[in-house]
Amino acid sequence: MNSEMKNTLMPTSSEASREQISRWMDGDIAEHEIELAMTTLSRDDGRYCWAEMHFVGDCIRGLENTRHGCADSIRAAIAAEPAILAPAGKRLRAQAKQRSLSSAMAYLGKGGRAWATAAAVAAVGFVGTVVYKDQVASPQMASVAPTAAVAGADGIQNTVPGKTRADFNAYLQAHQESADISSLSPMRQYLRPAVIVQAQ
Amino acid sequence: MSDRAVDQELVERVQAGDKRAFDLLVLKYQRKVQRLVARFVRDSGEVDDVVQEAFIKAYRALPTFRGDAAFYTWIYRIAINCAKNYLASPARRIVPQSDLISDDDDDTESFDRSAGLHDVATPDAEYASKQIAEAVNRAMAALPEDLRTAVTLREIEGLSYEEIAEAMDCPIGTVRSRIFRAREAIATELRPLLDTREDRRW
Repeated sequence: MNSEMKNTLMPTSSEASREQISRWMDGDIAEHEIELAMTTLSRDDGRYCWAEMHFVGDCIRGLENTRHGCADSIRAAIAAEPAILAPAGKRLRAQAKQRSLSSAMAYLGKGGRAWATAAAVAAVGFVGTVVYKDQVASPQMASVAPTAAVAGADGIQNTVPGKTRADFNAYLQAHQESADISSLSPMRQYLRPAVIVQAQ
Repeated sequence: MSDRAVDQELVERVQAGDKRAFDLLVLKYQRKVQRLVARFVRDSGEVDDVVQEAFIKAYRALPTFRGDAAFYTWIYRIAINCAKNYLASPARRIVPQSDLISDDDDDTESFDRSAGLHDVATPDAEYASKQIAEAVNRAMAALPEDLRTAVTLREIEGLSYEEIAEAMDCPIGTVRSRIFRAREAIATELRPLLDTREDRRW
């Protein structure tokens, strides 16, 4: 194969795009460029440039004798593997949360934050009422609730039956992950005593 | 962001089901992992098998990877374990313990340039490798001094762009441009030597 033929086969990419990939691979990338970078690198020419730039770096470091690599065979093997659906990383979760909050705020308009706060307070009141009723109905749960309220997300004490403890920890964790604590901060001084009083 | 943060971004993409992101990690680390495994395993075909196994194991274990450690130390650890398991299998040749890497040594990057590496190359591969090394040396020698310094500080010394800008007393944009132009010049020199199909090259 002569060089002219090779050039026609070579995936094309603009110089600006290649320069971006050159700096991205060195970690010189801003937060707002991440999506663009991932889109660029998902294309054949972007992937090619990424591979070529890393090959150049490996050659400079004296790793050229393994130039053929085994990315093809690994890619084929990975293609046969099921796709991973692990819990998203912190940043992706934060982005998703931000997107849902933004859309909710846009829908609710200028009074959105007030509506959200009111809804949160109403939800807490509802949960508190349910817990209080459960305590009245079940003496065992009445003894569990104060322990759980104090123990927090780190887990409740061993005096609580295993399944109840697991359920309660799962509830606490889910609540902490989904709740927008910052928007409720003015309310916290009222909420915590309220829970303790109900639990007692 | 840092180099490590880019890896973490790719890892999170894989964890969200994006297999192409894992391909980018393979393209980035395959030769380093190959060189590491080649310290344990002599046959080049078997090196590739162990490397492939290491990456597949890493892929399967990625749901549990939380980013507490850098991805490269994690994949190196997996590769070392795969190589040791390979050597421990009954049909394999035993390598003297002195040749093996200590379990306590996390600085596996340093082995890339250490002396006494096992030679895994066939004569043809060795010739091709020599040609590539000469082409890289030629291209490096032909680079203007500022480009050569910038790319050396990045690729050999591992400095960040900010550190290079400070060392060379120039704006960071200039560093970006110099490193890119140096890489392009070397890539241009190397392309005629890589006579495989373009989409199979890596």
